[in-house]
Amino acid sequence: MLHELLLSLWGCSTSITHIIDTDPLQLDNYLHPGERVLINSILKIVKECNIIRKFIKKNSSFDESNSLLKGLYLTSLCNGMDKALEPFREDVVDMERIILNDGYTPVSMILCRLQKYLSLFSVLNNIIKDIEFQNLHGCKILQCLHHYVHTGVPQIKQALEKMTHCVHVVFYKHLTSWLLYGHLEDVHREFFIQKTEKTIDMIIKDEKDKDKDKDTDIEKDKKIFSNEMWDYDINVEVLPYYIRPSLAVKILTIGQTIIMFGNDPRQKKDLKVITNAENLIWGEKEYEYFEKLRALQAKPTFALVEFERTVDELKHCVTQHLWHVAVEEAQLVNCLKLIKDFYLMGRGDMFLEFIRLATHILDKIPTNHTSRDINLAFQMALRKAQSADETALECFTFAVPSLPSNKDEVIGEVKEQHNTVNTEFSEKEREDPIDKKGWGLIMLKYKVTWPLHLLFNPSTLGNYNILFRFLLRVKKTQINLWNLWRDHMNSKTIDIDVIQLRNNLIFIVDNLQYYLQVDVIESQYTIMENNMKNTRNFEDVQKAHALFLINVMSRTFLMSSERADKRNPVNKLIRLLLRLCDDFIRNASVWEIENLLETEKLELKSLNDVLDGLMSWLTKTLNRVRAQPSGEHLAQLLLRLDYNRWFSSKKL
Amino acid sequence: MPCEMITLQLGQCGNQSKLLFLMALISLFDFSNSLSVTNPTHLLPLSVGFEFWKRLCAEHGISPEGILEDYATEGTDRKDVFFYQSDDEHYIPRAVLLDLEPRVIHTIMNSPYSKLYNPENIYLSKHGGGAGNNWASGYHQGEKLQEEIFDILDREADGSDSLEGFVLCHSIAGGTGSGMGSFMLESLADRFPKKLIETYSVFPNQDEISDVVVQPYNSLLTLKRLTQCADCVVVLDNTALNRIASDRLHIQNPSFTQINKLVSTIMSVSTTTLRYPSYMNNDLVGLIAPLIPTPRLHFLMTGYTPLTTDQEGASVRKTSVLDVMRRLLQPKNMMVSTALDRNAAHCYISILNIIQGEVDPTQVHKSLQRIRERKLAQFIPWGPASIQVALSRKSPYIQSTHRVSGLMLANHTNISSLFDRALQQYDKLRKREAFLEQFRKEKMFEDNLDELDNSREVVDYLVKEYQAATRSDYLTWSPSKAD
Repeated sequence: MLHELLLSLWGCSTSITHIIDTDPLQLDNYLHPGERVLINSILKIVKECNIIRKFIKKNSSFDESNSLLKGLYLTSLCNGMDKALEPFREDVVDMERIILNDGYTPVSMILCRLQKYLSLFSVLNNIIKDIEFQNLHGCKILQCLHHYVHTGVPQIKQALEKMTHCVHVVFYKHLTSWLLYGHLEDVHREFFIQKTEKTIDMIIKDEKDKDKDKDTDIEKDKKIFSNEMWDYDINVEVLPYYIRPSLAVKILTIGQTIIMFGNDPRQKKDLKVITNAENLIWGEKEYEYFEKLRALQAKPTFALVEFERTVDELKHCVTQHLWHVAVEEAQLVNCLKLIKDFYLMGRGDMFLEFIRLATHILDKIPTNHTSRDINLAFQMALRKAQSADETALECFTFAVPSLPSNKDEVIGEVKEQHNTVNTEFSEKEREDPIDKKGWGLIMLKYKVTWPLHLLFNPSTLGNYNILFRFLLRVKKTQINLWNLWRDHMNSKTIDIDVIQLRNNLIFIVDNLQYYLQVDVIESQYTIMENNMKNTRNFEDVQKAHALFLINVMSRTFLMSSERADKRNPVNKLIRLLLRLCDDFIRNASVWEIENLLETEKLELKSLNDVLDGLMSWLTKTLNRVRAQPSGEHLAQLLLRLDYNRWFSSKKL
Repeated sequence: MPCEMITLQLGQCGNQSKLLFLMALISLFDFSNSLSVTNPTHLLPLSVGFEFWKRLCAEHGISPEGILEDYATEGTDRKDVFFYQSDDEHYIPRAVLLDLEPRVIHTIMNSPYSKLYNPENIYLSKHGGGAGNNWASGYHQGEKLQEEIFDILDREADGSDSLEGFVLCHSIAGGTGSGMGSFMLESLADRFPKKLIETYSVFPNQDEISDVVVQPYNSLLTLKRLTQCADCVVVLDNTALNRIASDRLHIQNPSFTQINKLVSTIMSVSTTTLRYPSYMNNDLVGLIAPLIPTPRLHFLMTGYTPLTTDQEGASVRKTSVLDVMRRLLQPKNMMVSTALDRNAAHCYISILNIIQGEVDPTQVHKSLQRIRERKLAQFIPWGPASIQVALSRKSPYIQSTHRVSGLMLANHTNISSLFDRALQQYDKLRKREAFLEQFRKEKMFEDNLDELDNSREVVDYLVKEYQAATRSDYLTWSPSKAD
């Protein structure tokens, strides 16, 4: 009878329950009636034990009928559990030995010796329940274990640590292959870094593309270019909470970088691309890091601090290599200079010529061949500017997307947008004609050399294009005003009011440009240059560039906000000023400037009034917000525009 | 390439200072020419200029044979604004040299630079008698020679892609520069109405008695053309240049060479944004349009800092942007000496500072702010005005002892005092009817002296307009109401 008990503890199906229930007489032959209760409680333990065993059995063999998600983590958890039950099994064997020696061993001895496993069983059962109910999967199992491992009972702690270690072995294998080689062999999607599902992604993307077909080309190019790198992302669902998101991001970027190096287009033709790439990055250190990760894996407990340190070390190595490739091999500094020269109008002389050649094209609503004409103009301007380096010609192309055939829709959209904007200047805001012309649509495309697309991703280039269009518009307006000045210089008896309005506009546009180019772009560029000079870490380079772009965007008042009605008020005013300039230039070129007609005088007066209104708004707006800590740049613009306090002291 | 400029050098002053200017340009641009530095003494008698020149050559990696060194590969400068390339890749200045007497041009032709110029562009009057310091003579000789001169100019203009304008270098005191210069101004404005005309005009030294007795007549007649025909006049005042040479550079008897060096510095720096293009002021119109609000007020003062001779490298302690900008506002650094006028609160109409060197752009704003706080510059009360600061690149081949240097181009109402002085001197002479007979010999003054009276009127209006510009009611002012 005792053997029956032990056998059921071992996990065999016995008839002991049947005997107890149906054959009390036979039972009495072997046992004291009081022991019956004891047997019942032992059987209860057996039940618990069986659940665990069943779970282990179910999940360590790959059985199709299993409702739980399959996975290596789960299997190794089961292995761990099995190991954790080892002492229990030993005890059972020991008990058998005792019973064989002494046939009169009381049942209470068995129960007593089982007592200590009770809590372990309950914890294991809880874990099983958690896993089954919440359908825990992959790395999340680690979190579940981690949750239970903090207990005061040494026995349980030991057992759980053993289990955790088992699961961590799998984790580290994943991690090592990801960190060192950028591989992820993860059929069950268990690791916290996962390949995003392309199909879904593409569908979403396609939809997006339909929305704004401007960016499609660039984005698609990118997609093909770095096919794998962006496919990986962190799956927060399976990220154990003791690995901080920032750490996870670090791990992600390391692997991504390695993948990116694997895709190095410079080695595309080499068949052994990937192996080469790793060697390039790690060099002799590969073995060292491998050993380090191995040592971590061998540790009985998960050493978070050391883990972090190792990841940091790896990251440092990767970013430094990246820095080397990006800054020294891909000549990041030159690229930034090109970006500044072209996107940010650094080559003023070239753009002078470009605007001269392109004005008549961009003044029209773009058609199919506008892009080609603009590129032709650009090439001519570049040649004339005697740009010695052909790189600029290769890197930059223009595109002027012609409006889609369903014009009504677009115009409707534009109108809608304006409608939301119009609070103060509804009438004029409604249609800024330039938005629909080439000036408002032109795009400068930059062919990014590998691996600088890490810095210049599509959205960055999009921002640069916003800047470019704005700066181009300012420059074009300025040139037109200067041309007006040149015309006026020929005849010396021009109505003084025309002259004064022209001067004011020249002054405003000039100073606006000085502000944009010197106070914002040059200053921020210098800051970025200094930041980049002092580092050998690619992350810092990235950060410096991001900061540069953000600061430039916000200080040029172009930072886009999602809601149209929250567009920057300064930006609104500047746009209106530029429109006023356009209006004035258009009018002044047909006026009889030496002797204005009455109607022309009225036109002039209304233009003057608009200017006064705008400037008073602008100075008031700038004045109001410049005192704020983030309003330093507003004060700079105000200082430039209102240096002799002409606009602010003017009474309306 | 757009924005080309043709320079015209007229007369002694024009040619002498102009040569130096071109030499400065050559050194900046680093192209090969046939210059040799071993024997320039007959061109520049004083060793200071020679030393200056030798240093520039060394800095630019031009060997004495004029061959471009390998490292001079920085290709982002714009040589074509003032030069064109000949078929054999030589750089030829877009320069036309005109003189009525042979001395200076002969000196140039005998110098190592003789091969630099296009010989067809050097025009020397055949009789070689000069203009005898007589404006009218210079004017009429110009009239006679105009066909030949404009052949040259038309050829140059056709040779450039899109000509932006002319730069005229002359003196307003002598005969050739003033008389022939006046004629050229009128005809250029007439024949090329769409082109800008900028002049660098040397005003005579008014502290000493000139050997040219009719200088006040010459000056006044030229001033009229400068007012009416030029788009922009950079005034180079000999009085101030001498003062700067002796006070600031501690040179006891300033020579032509040193003065010319100052002038050439100003000329080369004021065009630096054209030649080393950056984000702004890349053409002449962009440079001067913001400076000149109304058509007649187009006389610009210049200031330069730091002013040092070669011997003493750093007599000025520290050069930050603020320092440079502050010093540029000090009258003692101005290349125009203006008398204090108690009747009017003179003020700046506009200022453009061209700053070169290692400048941290973030300093610019702080400097502007400080200058406004300290009220270091007074501005017009009738319109917006400010100090514009253009940060310009420098030749990468020049090493300077100064971290930062700056040139100011300013439109200041007090420049009228210069014209006022010219008027007074003219009046003194005219009252006595002195030296008028040599003018009466020429066609323009045969019958009457109306041209003189007319010129006086124009200059007088100019002075009045500048004075009016100090007041807030300038916009309602008109010449007719002036009196």
